[in-house]
Amino acid sequence: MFLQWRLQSFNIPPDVIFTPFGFSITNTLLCTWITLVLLVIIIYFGTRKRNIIPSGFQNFVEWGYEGILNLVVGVVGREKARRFFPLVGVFFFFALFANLLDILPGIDTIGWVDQSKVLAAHLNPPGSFLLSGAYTSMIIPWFRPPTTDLNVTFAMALISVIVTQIFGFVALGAGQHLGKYFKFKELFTNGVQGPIEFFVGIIELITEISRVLSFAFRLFGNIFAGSAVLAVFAFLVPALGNIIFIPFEIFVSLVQALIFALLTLVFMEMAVTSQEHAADESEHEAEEEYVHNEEKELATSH
Amino acid sequence: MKKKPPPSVWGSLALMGQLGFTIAIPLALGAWGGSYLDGITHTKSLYLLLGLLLGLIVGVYGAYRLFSRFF
Repeated sequence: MFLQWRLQSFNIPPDVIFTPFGFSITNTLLCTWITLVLLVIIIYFGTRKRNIIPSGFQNFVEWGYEGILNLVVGVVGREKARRFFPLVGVFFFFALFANLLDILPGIDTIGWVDQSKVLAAHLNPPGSFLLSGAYTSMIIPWFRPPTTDLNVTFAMALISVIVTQIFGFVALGAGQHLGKYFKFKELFTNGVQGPIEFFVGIIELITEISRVLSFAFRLFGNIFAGSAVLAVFAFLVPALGNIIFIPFEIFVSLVQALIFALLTLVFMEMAVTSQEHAADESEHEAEEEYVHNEEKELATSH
Repeated sequence: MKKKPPPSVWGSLALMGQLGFTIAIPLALGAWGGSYLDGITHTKSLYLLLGLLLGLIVGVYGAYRLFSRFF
């Protein structure tokens, strides 16, 4: 009896764990705060001394920072990277740490006992704080990774798409940027092709909006599924199964964070290049960057 | 012809991940909107099919736009 556990139910909406002053605090919101505090602590201790020649923890933080910075510079060039990196970097590190919470012990397994479920199953309240038997499927967990909540990923996707639009407006001006979507000029000047181009503009607008959904659901789906896989394999093959799946989840966390950040970056770059000379400027800049890096690599290898 | 820098591997992989969603989400939105309109107008599946067609066009065009930067 003591060694019997039951698989918890997976619910998509997060559970409310506290309601101070009538304001619902969900377990994913609590973990969002934990993630933010963790990031602040890491950045604080990583940049406290700021030696010219970094060592130890400072070196590690700089390695992570520079890795993402170089990736951004490689995609859009140095000039635009200066504008885009703050947002893209924050997306990457927030998503990464939020995803990585998934593999910590205690996530999804520490929490209140759901009294309504206990009553519904005609059981007495559990005797001790260590649960066993039927009680193990009646937990309201205190901690749940933020990105397993659609609200968090949806908010991130909204920020990503809205900021992309703002960059588009700032870089091209309202007329040219809106002209990408509402091609009234082409409608009347391009003859037969006019209506087609107008229609293409509307299509462009729809793809822009549907990107909110694709960003939100990809991150949410991958991490929620990952969290479910970890829980299921902990029950199917106790102790051994997750030797495979925890490294796999670490990999998925990294890849999903990277994909979210890089897609934001790519679409921002698309938004700030006008269609007439799409690809010209940024490619030229990226090319110079590439040649520069190649030369530097050659110089260091000799 | 100037030499283009190879697109970054991770950037390209990220775009690959976006491809499926680019095609699927307009289709789903079109189907949902179409069936909603069918419910209002009591047509059988006229708007559903129109919505699916529109979603397909948007999806294919979106996929083309996504990868046109590589051609």
